[in-house]
Amino acid sequence: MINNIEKKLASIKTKDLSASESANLWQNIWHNRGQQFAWSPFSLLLNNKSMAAILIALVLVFGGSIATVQASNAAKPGDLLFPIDQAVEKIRLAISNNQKREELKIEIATERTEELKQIINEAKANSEDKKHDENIKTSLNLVAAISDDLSSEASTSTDLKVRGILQKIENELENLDTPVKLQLKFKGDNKAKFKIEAEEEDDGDIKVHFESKGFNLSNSSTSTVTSTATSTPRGNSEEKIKVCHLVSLGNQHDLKISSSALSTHLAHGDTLGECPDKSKSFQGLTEAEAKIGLVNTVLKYEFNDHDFTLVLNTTNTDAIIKTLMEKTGLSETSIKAVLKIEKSGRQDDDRIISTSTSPDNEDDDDDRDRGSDD
Amino acid sequence: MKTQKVRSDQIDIKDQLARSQQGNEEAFYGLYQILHQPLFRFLLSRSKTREDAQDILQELFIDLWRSLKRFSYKSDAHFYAFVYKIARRKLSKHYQSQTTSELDENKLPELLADFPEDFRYIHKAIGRLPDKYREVIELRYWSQLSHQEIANLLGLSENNVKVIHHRGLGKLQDYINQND
Repeated sequence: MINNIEKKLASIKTKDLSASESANLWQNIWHNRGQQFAWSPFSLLLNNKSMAAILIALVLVFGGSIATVQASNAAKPGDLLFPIDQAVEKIRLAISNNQKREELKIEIATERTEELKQIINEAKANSEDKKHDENIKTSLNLVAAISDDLSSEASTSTDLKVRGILQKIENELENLDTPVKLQLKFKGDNKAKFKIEAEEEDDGDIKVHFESKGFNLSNSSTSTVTSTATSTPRGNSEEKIKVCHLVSLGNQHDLKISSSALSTHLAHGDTLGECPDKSKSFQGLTEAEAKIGLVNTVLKYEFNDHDFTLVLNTTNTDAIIKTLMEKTGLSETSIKAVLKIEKSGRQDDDRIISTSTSPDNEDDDDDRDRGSDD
Repeated sequence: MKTQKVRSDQIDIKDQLARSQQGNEEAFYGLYQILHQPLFRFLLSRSKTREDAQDILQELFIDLWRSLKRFSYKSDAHFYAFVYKIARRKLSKHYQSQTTSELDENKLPELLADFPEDFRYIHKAIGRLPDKYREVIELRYWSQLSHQEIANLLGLSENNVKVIHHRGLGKLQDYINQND
């Protein structure tokens, strides 16, 4: 009997590509190899904890370990990525700092889920294919549900809900085993895709791989995507990366950090790339005091809830202001309005912390205790 | 219409690959020459139209080109497995929204140059096979690969493939008998 079926199967002859078909196909392949698939891969290394938070957040947001989200062909990756990225950052911020959680809760969740909702709506509006619509609807339903809960007035119950989410994330973090792998894809058609892939490496680091295909990243409306792509090549620890340093809600400023410090910064809620302009507010600088000594100046300032202490090798007021301008990104006027200058003939503080752009260090515990600085 | 089977030993895959990775068109064309016909046959086994199969093949090679940089060569078999993985992914993406793989009989002549009279039943029966049997059968009779070649593609031993092949045929026969 088997011989019979085998015989029949063996009689199957496919209609192969003719020489001209084959040649045409090759022409198309070679012609389209670059334009159609503009992969812009970029990777960054994050520590276990922050990466795990991303994964969990994505899982939570998309309600599954692997989610394929169909999005519109017209949707831009910047539009798609940035809010999700932001959402993850914010959620992570909440995890990494118990103190901050109080402040964050509703505002963050509302803001970010609103953005996500917007993406879905945009994608739905732009997509002509109803099948794609269905997929994106299903996949992001969960987000919309959370969003609905949180957009209402802040109350004890919403408060609890957000706490519940965060608690869940925290629990997941503790239970997380290796290896972790998650793929998230935005797919319009075969030509336009966006992919986030995270994978745990042997050394315990987690590598996140972002790829977008069929989109023109340079025209993206969000600079974050582009800057991340170009400024954080894996393994280059010397390279300076621009992050939007977030200290408390609404208080953030641009900061250049080395890529080795990236994970720490991301862990407390900083986002890659420059801050939106509106956030460059001088309200972030609440106190600044320069004690000018004989040969140097001790500059203490409070910027966005953080205390900074710098020792400057100068006694020149203009130079001090200039330094502050660099550190905070604020204008001269804003700084002069706050800065108190005190000239003294002696060095009265020899326990000064060496120059740093940020009070953070790599120590997680210290990170967590940061709230007590205030 | 039996086309010449290009064997991997006629061409140095590793070398072609390395040069392709550096952007060499000629080298990539070499890979295309080796791969495209058997891949096309494989795609035909699961495509509804010949045009679909061509589209998928085109996308597959563009995908391959783009992912070459990230591919590190271990063996020819490893490379073939990689390529067929892309093919399977492309196929499932292309047809993911469609639940049934019902074959349009009118389209058959454009897919196949020759096929048995009761092909429709056979095709239906193949569609009911568990994936691993189905794949081996398709690679064997559409792509016309040897057991060894299939083993390389699927990362199995040749004997394993032979067993799957034999059992697959048995299952096929059972399905067809049930329908009779």
